[in-house]
Amino acid sequence: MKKTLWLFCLKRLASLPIILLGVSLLTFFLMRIVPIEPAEVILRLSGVTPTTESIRSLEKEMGLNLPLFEQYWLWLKDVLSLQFGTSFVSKLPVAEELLSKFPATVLLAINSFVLALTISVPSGIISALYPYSLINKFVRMLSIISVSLPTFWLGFMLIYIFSIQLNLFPTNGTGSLAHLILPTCTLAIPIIGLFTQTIQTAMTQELTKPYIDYAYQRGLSKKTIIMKHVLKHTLTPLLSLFGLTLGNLMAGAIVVEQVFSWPGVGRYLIESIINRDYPVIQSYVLIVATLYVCINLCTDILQRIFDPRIKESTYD
Amino acid sequence: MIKKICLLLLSLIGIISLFAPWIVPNDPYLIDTTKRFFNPSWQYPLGTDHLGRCIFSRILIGMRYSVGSALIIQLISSGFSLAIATIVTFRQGITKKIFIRLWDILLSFPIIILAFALISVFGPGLRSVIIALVFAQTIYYSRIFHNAMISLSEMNYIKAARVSGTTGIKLLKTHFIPHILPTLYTLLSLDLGKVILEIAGFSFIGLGVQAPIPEWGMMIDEGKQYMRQYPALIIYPGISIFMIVLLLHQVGVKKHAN
Repeated sequence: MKKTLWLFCLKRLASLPIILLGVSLLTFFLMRIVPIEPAEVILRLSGVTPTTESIRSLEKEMGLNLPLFEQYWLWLKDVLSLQFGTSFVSKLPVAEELLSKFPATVLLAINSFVLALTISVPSGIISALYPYSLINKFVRMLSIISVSLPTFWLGFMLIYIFSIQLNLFPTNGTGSLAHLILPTCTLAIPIIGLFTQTIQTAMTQELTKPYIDYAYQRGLSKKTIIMKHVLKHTLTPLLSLFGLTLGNLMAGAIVVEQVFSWPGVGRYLIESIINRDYPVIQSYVLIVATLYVCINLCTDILQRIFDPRIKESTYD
Repeated sequence: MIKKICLLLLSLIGIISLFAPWIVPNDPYLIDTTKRFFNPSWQYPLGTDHLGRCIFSRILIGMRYSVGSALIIQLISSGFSLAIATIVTFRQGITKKIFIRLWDILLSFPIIILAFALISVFGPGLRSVIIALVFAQTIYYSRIFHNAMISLSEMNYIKAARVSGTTGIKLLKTHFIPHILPTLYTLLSLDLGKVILEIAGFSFIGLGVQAPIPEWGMMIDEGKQYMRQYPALIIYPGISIFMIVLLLHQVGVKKHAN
């Protein structure tokens, strides 16, 4: 039992470098097929009118005239020693800039994730337990509404109601708990809808299974059945969804940060895309993809621990 | 019943957006600074914005950009992904291996981050948003269709058809496609709403449709600085996005439940 689990973890860990290598290849070559040459962008940004000569000399200086694979190799070596190059705009190391901005985004994403779980797990369970009740209809309606809302618009509506009309929270910025509440809610609300719906569907299906009837026949109380058996079987398959969502929240935060002027990495990314600051975009994509892959790995292993029945063949 | 009403409303919206240029009450691009922030009236059903443009007309025209480009994205990407899924399912050997590795790598990105990366490659604009989303959706759909086709080809009736000599296009047309179509419809209608939200989001952060085109996300972005005094500027476009996505979800969910 234990041995197969270890073997599974090892196998997944072994596939990690291959996927990460693929991710790095992709991010590198994506930024090399851009229609504008990076050297030209740098010259433009520093206010120099680019000429063919100045472009060529800058390319030579940056090593952009080397063969592509050699460039990739050099870049990969830098990345492995956590040097992501310098930003075209600010001329500062990208690693430093990103590092100073990532915590704010991660804080936002994790808070929303926790908020979404604490609300959607109970509401999903309750609405599954009472399938024809008013509360079930209410929860279903709310969850459909919440997945249809445009996040940024929801953010503005929350600002309008709670900041401008009721004057409860600040409209934007960061620093205190009050600053955190509106962005967290904005990011969490669509996820609450998604989670509630999924949990409710999964649990409703689980409740129709024969072992539930058997447990009732044996005289177990409803509470024991739900808490000890149903909950575990319902939530375990959803672990991978939770993991994927946590990764997607990083992307979702981009829009929310823009609404609330949250000083996270998302606003930095948008600025960089508009300025064509390729080293920043490249590093951002690489870091987020790496995080995403690692989160997925963790949820896979967790899922495997909670539910050993999962076939190994699905991952081969 | 609800589904029928939703379908009816959606087709109404479709017809309106098709004929929008001929039924708008005012020119959506006409800037007239003497008419800023008008209240709703018969002339301007939802009032005017910060440049004196009719909000109602802009929403009607904006529908063509939001819904139209989402439809284009969904149609193109489902076509592409069906083609890719077919090739990978029927070709053994190196092609298959390459595609499976590619999926592993590409699907390890959050789809939306991939779209961001592609937009930064092609530069901001509606065209790059469409390219990016088509690419992202194609990767995602082709994997789903491929999985569906693999499980179909294990079915006995497909084996029987193969044994009795059905091959190539005919096998695909009579035995595979009809069983893939329900999945395709569900994905199309459910994700159409998602794509509309994404396009609006990209336009809102300034990477999608550029001014003065009245896309809904764009309109919210333009209206946000006047939110304190004139919330109408962002309320109406937001409600339009919300209503359409809600209707699409209703239709999609109901179809899925059948």
